Amino acid sequence: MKVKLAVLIISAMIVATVFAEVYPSKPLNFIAPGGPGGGWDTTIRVVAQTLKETRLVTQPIVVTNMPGGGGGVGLAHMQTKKGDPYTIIVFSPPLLLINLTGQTQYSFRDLTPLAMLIHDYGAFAVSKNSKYNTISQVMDALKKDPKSVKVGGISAFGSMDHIQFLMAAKAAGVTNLKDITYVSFQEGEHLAALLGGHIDVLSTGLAEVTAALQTGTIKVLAITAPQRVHGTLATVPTLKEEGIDAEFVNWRGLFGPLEMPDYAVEYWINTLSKMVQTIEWDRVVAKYNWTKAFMPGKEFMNYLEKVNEDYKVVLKELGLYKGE
Amino acid sequence: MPTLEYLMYGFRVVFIPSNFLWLTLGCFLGTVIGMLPGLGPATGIALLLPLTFVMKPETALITMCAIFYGAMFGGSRSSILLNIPGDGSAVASCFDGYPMTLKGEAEAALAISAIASFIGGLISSVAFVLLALPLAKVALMFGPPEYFALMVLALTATASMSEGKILKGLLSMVLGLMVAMVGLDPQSGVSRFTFGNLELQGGIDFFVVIIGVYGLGEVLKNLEKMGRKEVMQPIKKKFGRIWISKEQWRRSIVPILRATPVGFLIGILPGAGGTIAALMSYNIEKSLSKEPERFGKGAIEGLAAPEAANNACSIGAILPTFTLGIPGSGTAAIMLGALMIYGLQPGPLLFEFYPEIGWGVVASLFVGNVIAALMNLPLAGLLVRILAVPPKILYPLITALCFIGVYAINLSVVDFYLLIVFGLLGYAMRKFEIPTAPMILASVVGRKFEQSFRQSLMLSHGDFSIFFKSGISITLLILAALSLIYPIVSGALKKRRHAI
Amino acid sequence: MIFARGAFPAGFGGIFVEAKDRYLAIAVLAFGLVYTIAAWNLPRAPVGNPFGPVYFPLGLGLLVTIIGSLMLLQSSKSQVKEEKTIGKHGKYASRIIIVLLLCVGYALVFRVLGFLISTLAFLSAFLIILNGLKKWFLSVSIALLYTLGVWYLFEKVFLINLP
Repeated sequence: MKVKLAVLIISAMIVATVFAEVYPSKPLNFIAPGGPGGGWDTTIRVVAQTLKETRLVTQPIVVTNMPGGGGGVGLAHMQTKKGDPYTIIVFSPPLLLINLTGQTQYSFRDLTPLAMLIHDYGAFAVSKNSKYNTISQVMDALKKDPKSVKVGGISAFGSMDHIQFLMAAKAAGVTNLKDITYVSFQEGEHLAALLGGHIDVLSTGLAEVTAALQTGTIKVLAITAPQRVHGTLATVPTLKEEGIDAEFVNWRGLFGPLEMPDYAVEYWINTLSKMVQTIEWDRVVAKYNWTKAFMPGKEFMNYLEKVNEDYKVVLKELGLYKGE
Repeated sequence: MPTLEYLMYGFRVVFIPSNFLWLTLGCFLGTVIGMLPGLGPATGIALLLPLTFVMKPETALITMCAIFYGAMFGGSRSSILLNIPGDGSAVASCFDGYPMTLKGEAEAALAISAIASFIGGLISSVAFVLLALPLAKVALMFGPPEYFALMVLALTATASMSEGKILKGLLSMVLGLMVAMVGLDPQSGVSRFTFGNLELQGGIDFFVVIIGVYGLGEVLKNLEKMGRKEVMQPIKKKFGRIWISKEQWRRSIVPILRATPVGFLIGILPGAGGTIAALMSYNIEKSLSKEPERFGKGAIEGLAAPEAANNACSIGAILPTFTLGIPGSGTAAIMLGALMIYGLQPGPLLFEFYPEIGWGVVASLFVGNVIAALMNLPLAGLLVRILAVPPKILYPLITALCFIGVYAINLSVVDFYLLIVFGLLGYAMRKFEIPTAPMILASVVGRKFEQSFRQSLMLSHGDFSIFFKSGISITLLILAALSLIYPIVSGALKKRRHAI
Repeated sequence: MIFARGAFPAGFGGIFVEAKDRYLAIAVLAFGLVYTIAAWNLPRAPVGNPFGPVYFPLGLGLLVTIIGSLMLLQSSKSQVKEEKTIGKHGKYASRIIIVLLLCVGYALVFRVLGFLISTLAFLSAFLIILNGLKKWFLSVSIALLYTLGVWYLFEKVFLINLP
């Protein structure tokens, strides 16, 4: 009797899941390819929360951190999820950079771009007690001795945090870019390393420095945006204002795995385009000093092709390009 | 004294009924999650995040903290009863906790674990109130070379812990470090020892190692006993009160008081974590003990120390999060994220501008520890009955739980095969009498160990003297050298005495 | 000879080393050599110091090799106490192997059959192996209850996607 009952229960469950097949019918897996507290992590958690808050997605969303390899670990993980409609990952310039520097064999072509959501920018910060008060002072010190300033960041060597600093240094006239010390902290020790004086300059994103700036423990010397941002960081000059002709856009967007079913791609482009029009989204974008920059699938792909060429040029100049 | 006034204010916040209710729920959820292999406080807090939207910020943070230390209370239950650590920081609780169970002292083991956790938590909460800011500054003195030195000490001390088997201890340590080498190198992105397997690129989660070596390894060992036709009675049929004797209390109290500051200080360092704290305090107790031979055979002080240390550590980890905005652990990082979502800036100003949050959380540490301890004593009375299940039924169920727990970490089946491999390895290590603790610790800290080594050398442009530039790292390295030399020398001396 | 007999520090292990320890020493030594070679053949870093990712594994490989040599030295310096336990192994080894095969089988079908069916089958088989065919009904019922309970807890309470 019990056995029969059990068989009944199980078959009832199977039937139930088959009939409930309206996408998404299961909890969704969102992946941040970096550690907690970083830009990727913040972006995808905020997206997950906004989707919940606005009830655009009612299925539970589980965010998983997969740090390592400057995003390479997450990218490799997505290759094991081909065709899965339930796994979504967030990425930004390192997706292209780690491929161009030869740190991963996979590129943005091994993912399905869903939508670009925001633009963020880089920030260069020093500790409150630092002798540097402007970015130009840092660059002058580097011009005298490229080894005199220790730079730290979150992304891997040759990736975003490193590149944005080198681009600024190059525009400021620093030579011997290869001699500049760059150390990557991928487990969330970057701020502690800066405050403790283990590195001199932290090259990172706006969100990463906002909290520490408000507590008054750090000084932010410059941002890589084309013009000043609003909010807490409104007092921070852009590189251009400081006489350094460089800017760096940190775009962030969502991707599905390769061969993600069309219905899922369509669902996400739709849902995300609705999400970016909500007040809730406006509110978080303002909170993190981001800039709204929605761009759906196809366009996003074209954009990626274009910036990929731009990065290639920069990396070649810096001697970090490892292709062809 | 304003601090006391603020603290009283914090207590009033905690005892608002809704806050109190959530605090209790958080402790319970944390305890349950901590007990299950594969799930840690990070899972619990992540689960709770959507709920926290409707809560006031202080309620949400109080609940999150409750989950955090609730998990520390719960994590050691399965270590003690089944020899399967619920979390990395509960590994050290296996060493003497499980032998106590086998000796029929499960009740005392569970009781001392709750009591030690409680005392460790309480003292750390006091330290939190009094020393938050100066201690946070100490944490900042730890840069890559200091982390490297700290981990050298933790590793060598653990490797030399098993007397007379230093070579095997070192071997076990190196194996653990090798496990940590697998995957993409975080600095350069080079893939190492992945054999072309994509899922291995993310590295081997140390949790798979723990569950394999302890959980599955333990099951295999017991299968062997069953095969030998040894009578396999349930471990225990009669159950007593969950409490300890005066003698046991006398033995435990000093180790608890010693372990608490060790755990608290290690907790403050971002990224060091509970596994180091628990193992270090175990090492300290063993080396200070007059009867080190009792350790590993069910010495109650060998359980009390790591239990106090890991709870103290979890409270220490919250400190830099709140005072400096620097998370001390993955879990603390999620809390930091939550703080920021509410638009709150962590730091000393948090306590000035939002006393109900800052001091409410601090007061909740006190109240939560009492609740978790009170909840754990009767809960232990229920849990201990697991031991009455006949092994022939218990072990298959444990095996299945190991697999599911491992699956829950990465949602990957590759981890199943790794689990089997590590289960076999754990079984083989027991056969060859190779200690397992050094391997576990090494697989937990291995990645950070190598990274801090390389970060140091990058900072110094390849100059090794960076490791000897600060007082902290020199002291730690000297202690590490001593921990290796001491057992060899004392062993030689003992032998000479015998010869004469 | 630094490690003349008798002068060997006791901290390194007992004087009487069982035969299995000699095999272990040889295995460790061989593994150390293989690992060292593998570490040397690791890819060099495309950016930064090309040897960055190699140093550490190389050091580990060498360390294992040294440990293996010391263990071998230690076991050849001491009298070998022959074990008489060979032959006893057969009795329980078969059961362990069966269970291991069961585990591998579980891993193989987990994705294909899904969590519920594969876990039910795995648990039933495991329980029947230990408790005998006669008690199959008990075994299957326990397996079923447990599987459903775990499924509910992970999938519904903790929101972890099981296949």
